Amino acid sequence: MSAAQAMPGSNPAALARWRQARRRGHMAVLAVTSLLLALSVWAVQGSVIPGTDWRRMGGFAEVVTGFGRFLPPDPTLLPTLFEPAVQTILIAIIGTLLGAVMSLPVAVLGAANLRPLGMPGYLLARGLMTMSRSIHEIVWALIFVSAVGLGAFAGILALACRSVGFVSKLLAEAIERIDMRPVEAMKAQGARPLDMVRHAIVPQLLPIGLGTLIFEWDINVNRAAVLGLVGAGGLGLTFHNQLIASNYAGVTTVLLTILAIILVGEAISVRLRRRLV
Amino acid sequence: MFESSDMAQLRFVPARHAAPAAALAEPLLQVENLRVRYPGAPEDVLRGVGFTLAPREFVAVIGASGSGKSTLLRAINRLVEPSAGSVRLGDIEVTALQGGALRRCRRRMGMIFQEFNLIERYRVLDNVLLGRVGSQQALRALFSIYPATMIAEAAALLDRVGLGAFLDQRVDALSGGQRQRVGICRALFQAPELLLVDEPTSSLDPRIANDIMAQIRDLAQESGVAALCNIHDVALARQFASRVIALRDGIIVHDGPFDELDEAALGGIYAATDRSRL
Repeated sequence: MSAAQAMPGSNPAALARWRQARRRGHMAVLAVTSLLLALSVWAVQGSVIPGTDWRRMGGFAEVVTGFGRFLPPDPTLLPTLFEPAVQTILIAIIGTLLGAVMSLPVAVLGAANLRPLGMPGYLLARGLMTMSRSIHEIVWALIFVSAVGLGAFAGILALACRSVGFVSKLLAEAIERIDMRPVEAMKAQGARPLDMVRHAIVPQLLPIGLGTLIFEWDINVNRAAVLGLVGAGGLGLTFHNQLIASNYAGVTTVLLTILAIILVGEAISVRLRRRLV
Repeated sequence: MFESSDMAQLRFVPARHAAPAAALAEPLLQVENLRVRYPGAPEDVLRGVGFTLAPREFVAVIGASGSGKSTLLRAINRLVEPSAGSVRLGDIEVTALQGGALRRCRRRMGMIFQEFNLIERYRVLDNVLLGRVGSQQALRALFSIYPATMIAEAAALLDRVGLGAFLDQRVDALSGGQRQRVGICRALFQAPELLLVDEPTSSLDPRIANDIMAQIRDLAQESGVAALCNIHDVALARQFASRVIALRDGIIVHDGPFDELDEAALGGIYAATDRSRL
């Protein structure tokens, strides 16, 4: 008899159920791990090994030489990077703000506790959230480049559409978690509906909304930097041009500039979140 | 800007409840055959409740959990819709009101909640000022613009409950007792004729509960406001209210002085309530 079984007041049937539940948990972890391992082996065997041009890769020395072409960075390119860098940051800011404006109605429609347009509106909003998230920003950019032409505007629209999924989903969840007690208090004292929204609901949503927006902007700086690869403006376009011209040192300079922007963006984002949220 | 010395000299004077002497003879609140059934519930929570409340009267409502105390208060100001019966505040039939008329009527009834129901991210003074947000012009209310006299009045009221030094603090930094005082100030700042007080001390320890009840009673008397106060704690009800309404399973089983309630009657009020109602 185990120590637990011997404990006074213990329930042998409950203990047996607990052991069974724990065993089931262990078995589930083992099964998932095995499945992932098998999938990895299958992917390497079925895709990576036959799908890679091993002859072109050459030996280890050639791989190192290949990487070496990217070093050192080309500092002469820096003055020309200022304008696309600013454009990248602006695309991220405007794309995020436009995404936030578009997210508001989607979040309200998709909040399970509000459903102002009933189930059809709710399903439409949830569908838009999923669509926005499941389409990659590069694909969004390709769609808008073909719709409005090359340049920053296509990038802004791409980021806005990509942002809707994440921002509206988190905002809808925040609306669903609203503490209704302050709303009830304001209703009881004869406040107007607009007063209730302004004073009892907005203060609860504001920190979550701002936090989400800052986080999304941080990610959008990253996204904006690569959107240029498909012609949507910013540093990505310069990166693409350097790559085509086989100026690998210039590619490194562009990559380092993107890295610097992301680091600065992250630092600003952390400070803003700490102050506002 | 107001100096603290100015604040101490200011005294809270409610704006609206200077009832004419003739009106005092009339009941302030008349509840008749009030019934409430929640959607989907098999039976009524309130089953034909009726009583009157005079101006300036302080009445305790007692009863076991699930007896309908909170529903009664919420049905009076229509936070819960009555399914039948009448609620009259002065000469106004509350159950017949809609939209703006209902909001104007609710401004005559202040409510103090068990869990305070404050705006946690707002400062103490802002929470109290919200007591009159409904009577402000819409744009002023939207941007929280209040006249200096109103700000001074709210500050004086906070001073009165010992929170003068905390008026610039965020509510989420206060203790439970302090939050309830803010809730009391918000309700009284409305300048109501009737206070609906829903278990104001349930979330507080006994010593603070006593102080809070004393402040509610004193401020209500000072301001000439009638109060209907749900109290779970019988000892507190006995201490602070001269008249008690006792509910059991949605029916009034006692309405009168506390002295008329003996141990046997109290035992009946708190005896095993129909568990399906809990």
